[in-house]
Amino acid sequence: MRFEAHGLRSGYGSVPVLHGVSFCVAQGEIVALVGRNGAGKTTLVRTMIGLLRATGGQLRLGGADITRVPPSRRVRAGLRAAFQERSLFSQFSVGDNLRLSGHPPAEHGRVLGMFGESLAGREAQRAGTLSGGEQKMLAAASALASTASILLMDEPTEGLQPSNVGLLGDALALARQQGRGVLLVEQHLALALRLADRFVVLEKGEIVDTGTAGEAGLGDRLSGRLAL
Amino acid sequence: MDALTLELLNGLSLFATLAIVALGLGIVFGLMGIINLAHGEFVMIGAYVAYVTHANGLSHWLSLPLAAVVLFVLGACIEVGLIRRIHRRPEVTILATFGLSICLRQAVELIFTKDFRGVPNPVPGATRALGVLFPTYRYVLIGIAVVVVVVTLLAFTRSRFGLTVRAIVADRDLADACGVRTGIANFCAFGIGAATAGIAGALVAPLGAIEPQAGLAYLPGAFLVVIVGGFNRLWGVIAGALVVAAVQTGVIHFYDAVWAQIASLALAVLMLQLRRVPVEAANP
Amino acid sequence: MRRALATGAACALAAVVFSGAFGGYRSGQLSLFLVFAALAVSLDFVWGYSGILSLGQLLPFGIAAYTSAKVATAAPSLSLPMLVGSAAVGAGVAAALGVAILRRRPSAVVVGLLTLVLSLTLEQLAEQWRDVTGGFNGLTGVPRLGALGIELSDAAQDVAVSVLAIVAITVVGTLVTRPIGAVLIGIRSNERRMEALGYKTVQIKIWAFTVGGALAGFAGALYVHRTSFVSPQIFGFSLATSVVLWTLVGGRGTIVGPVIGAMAINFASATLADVWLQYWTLATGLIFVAVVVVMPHGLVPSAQRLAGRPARRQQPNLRPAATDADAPSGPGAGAEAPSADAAAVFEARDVHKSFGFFRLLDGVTLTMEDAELRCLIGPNGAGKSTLLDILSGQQGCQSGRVLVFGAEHTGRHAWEFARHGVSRKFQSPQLIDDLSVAANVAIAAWGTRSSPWALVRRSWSTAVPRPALEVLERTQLSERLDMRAGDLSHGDKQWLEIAMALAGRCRLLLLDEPTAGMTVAESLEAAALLRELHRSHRLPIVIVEHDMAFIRAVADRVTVLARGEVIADGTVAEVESDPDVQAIYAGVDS
Repeated sequence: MRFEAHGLRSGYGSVPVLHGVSFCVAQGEIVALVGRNGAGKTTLVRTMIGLLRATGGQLRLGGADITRVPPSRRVRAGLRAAFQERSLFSQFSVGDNLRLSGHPPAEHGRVLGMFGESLAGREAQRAGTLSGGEQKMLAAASALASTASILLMDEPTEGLQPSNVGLLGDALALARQQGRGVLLVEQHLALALRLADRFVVLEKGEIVDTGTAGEAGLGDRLSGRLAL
Repeated sequence: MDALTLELLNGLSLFATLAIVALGLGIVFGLMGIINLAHGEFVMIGAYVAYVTHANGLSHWLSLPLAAVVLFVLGACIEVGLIRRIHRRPEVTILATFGLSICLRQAVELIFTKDFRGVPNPVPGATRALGVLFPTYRYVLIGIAVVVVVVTLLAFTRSRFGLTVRAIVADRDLADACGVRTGIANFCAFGIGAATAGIAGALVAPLGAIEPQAGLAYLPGAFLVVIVGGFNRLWGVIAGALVVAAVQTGVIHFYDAVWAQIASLALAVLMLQLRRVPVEAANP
Repeated sequence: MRRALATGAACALAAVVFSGAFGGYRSGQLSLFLVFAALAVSLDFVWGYSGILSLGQLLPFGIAAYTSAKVATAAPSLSLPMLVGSAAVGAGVAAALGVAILRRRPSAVVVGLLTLVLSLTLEQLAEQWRDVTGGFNGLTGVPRLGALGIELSDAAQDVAVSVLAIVAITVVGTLVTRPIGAVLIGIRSNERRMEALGYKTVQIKIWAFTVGGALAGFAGALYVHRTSFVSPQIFGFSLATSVVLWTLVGGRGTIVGPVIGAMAINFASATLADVWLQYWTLATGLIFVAVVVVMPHGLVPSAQRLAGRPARRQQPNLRPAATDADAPSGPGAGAEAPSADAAAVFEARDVHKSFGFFRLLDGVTLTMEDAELRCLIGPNGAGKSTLLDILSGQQGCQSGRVLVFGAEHTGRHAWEFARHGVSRKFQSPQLIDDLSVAANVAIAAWGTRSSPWALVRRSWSTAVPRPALEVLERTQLSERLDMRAGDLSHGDKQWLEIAMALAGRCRLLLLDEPTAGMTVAESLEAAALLRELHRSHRLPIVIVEHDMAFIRAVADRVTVLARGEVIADGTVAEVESDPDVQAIYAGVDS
């Protein structure tokens, strides 16, 4: 299963944000998508999962054209996203959130135990009362515990404690080992540099640079792209 | 003392009627953000189902499930044929259902003519309880209405299906991204809303005349319940029906029906001032 | 305006000729249907122009009809003067309703629902209040129109009713060709935008609702004399749906549309109903639904579109403001406010704002002492747009204070900020799409001095501050003043929006992501233009941006927000070398 975007264009209303973006995520690899605020990263993720209509270009999943397919069918075809913001139903309990994401109650213990103790046993708590970091972890755990073969993670480390960033990194590495593909959207380079196999830099809705792990001077080049 | 008891029973009966009539309206508005102005016509058609059942020599009790089925199918068809195309534009849905109500009324008139129809009371007579005589069928009505309302609300707040539908209401995009089939949930919500209206219509059929315009009489009361009970709050239907029934019964008891109407109007305007209305909550 | 008057006069003449030619029955039909047309136009004014979905237009119509019936029965010779009285009754009913309903800014759905419920409840009330309303059968035997002891004949009354209805329609038709018409369209399509331009939108909507009520009340009095009776069904569902149907089918937002809709549907009903009444009513229901779904704009606008000739609207004539006194008060008009030189441009002190558990702003203090060009940057969710909202009154804050040019503005409305000189450009362009480029600019220029009646009287020729005209010229928008704003390219929309911000009483300009959607070259050009504006007019500007190339080109000073707090403040170079800022942006720590 391979996810591809060809010349993807998208935006909000009359405001164009993505001006023809092409890249792919194959199984068993982590692709880091980095770029500054407002570069169009979140727009890209929302277009990929189908919440925003592509205004041009094509999306393919496992060879099939999914550009016009509604989100629920993309999810059933093996795509899964964890959003940066509003990633949970804040009015509902943690358990209900997991049920909605397709995890039967029997699995809840496993999902909540994914990141050590911090979420364990908190099924009955209202998701909105979790701290920002805990909410991010729950959303990430829910996506990682699904059977999806391609995962889109939009800034999963934002607001996370360093120790939990480590746990998340391990979980992503495990997903890669299991043969899943991950698109890791990050503004923070540390985790991306540690994990990713390939890098894509987005700026003003266009891909301005790409790179492969182990390339000489990659870290400096990327931080240069992200610095002020 | 007896007069007061009778008034309380009258109020209770009004409450039960208001609650079951407003239930479907509340579900469709609370879950889909749609004001269905054809809701009164759904109730009216439910009453005609009771009439047809009776005309074919069948038991009145059979008409309750029958009306639920007929109206579910009708509601589902309307959702697929009409609502689905426009449901993200609240102003358009209010107009479309406005037009729909004319169609339904007129279609019923074409089939059954304007003549008043009636269904005989399946449990005639009165029961003496708490020292007063009160029509037995009203006790039955109160019982059935309360059961239908509570069971329906429990289904929406406790079941997996209800969770799905509420998730769509809370955050449609997120529900989409979780893989929830948002179309099917709307279909069911609208169908179930219509079905409860059908049950309400069949339930009240023995109490009054059945005619094509009958649905209009229910509309103001039902909307008042939803406004008072609170938009987007399913259990608000019960609270709203309770308040409206209490105000109406109380004012009629002490003054007259005219003042009861005026009090209802004042209540609606007052609630609007007090309540934060979900402005365009349903269309992201 | 002349065209509207000429059309009205021609119609009145045609109605008289028609009545003379066909006489009796046809003349009676015409007068009744013209009354309905006036009712439809009143709904159109309220809904089509002002965006208030009133399904209770029968309330002023019916209450005025009952009042007129009472008055005319008691004193027949007062019936003609009472026509004016009934307009006042209608206006009073609508004003009371408007105050009760519209002040909380309910959604269209709630307004529709509530007005409909009120109307239906009034029907029941009229049935039960027998002493006053005559109960179910209503009031019958209402005398014909008359004054000074003379009662008109049936034939004369038909002509009089027709002509009076046309006159009333013409008055409203003339009203919408005045600047208020454009402002109402603006409020209908984007209320938030209009409020940010300085319009007291709630007040204007209540005014429009009142004017619509006056017309409906006038029509109600004509109706009751024409039909000689009134019953509770005047508030009923059937007539309520019909009025909406006429307006909808004909085309709202045009005065001609509802008139054509009312006349065509009623004549068709009268002709066809004799043959197959029931099928015809079913057909109207189906037409209703079909128009809503397939042709939501109605017949007249759709026909205009097919013919490739969109509705002609009066175009404002923009001229440069000769002096500050001529303009609505342009940038740099600091002299007007004596304290402006002494006081800081704006001051936000310890502002807190949270939404649920989430703290958007956590004690932000931000001051601009002197006219400078300041950029606000920070990661997503840092609270930049929220801060801009609080500085322009779009949102309130839970604690803290906001001062603009030394004046306390904490908790004030957006229009108060605008009238004190705060101009705001939103993140995505918020134009009045249906109006021309020139009309958008003119609306922006009128915003800070607008009462509804002043907007009726004022001239279309508008003085616009020079900076706004400069922007229009630099971007060649001045050559496309007649173009529909909605048809502009995205970049041009951004510029028009900036020109609008400058066209009002602009003494402080707040821009939210002005370069969004622009190419790199365009944003650098934008930077140059903004710098020039700032320098030549000493205009204080605050810009929220992400694009560092743009910020370097434009900013005097940069403030960095993160997690609802100010974490750095200084020149571009200072901020760039700040370790905290680097940490946040490059993600070295956390």
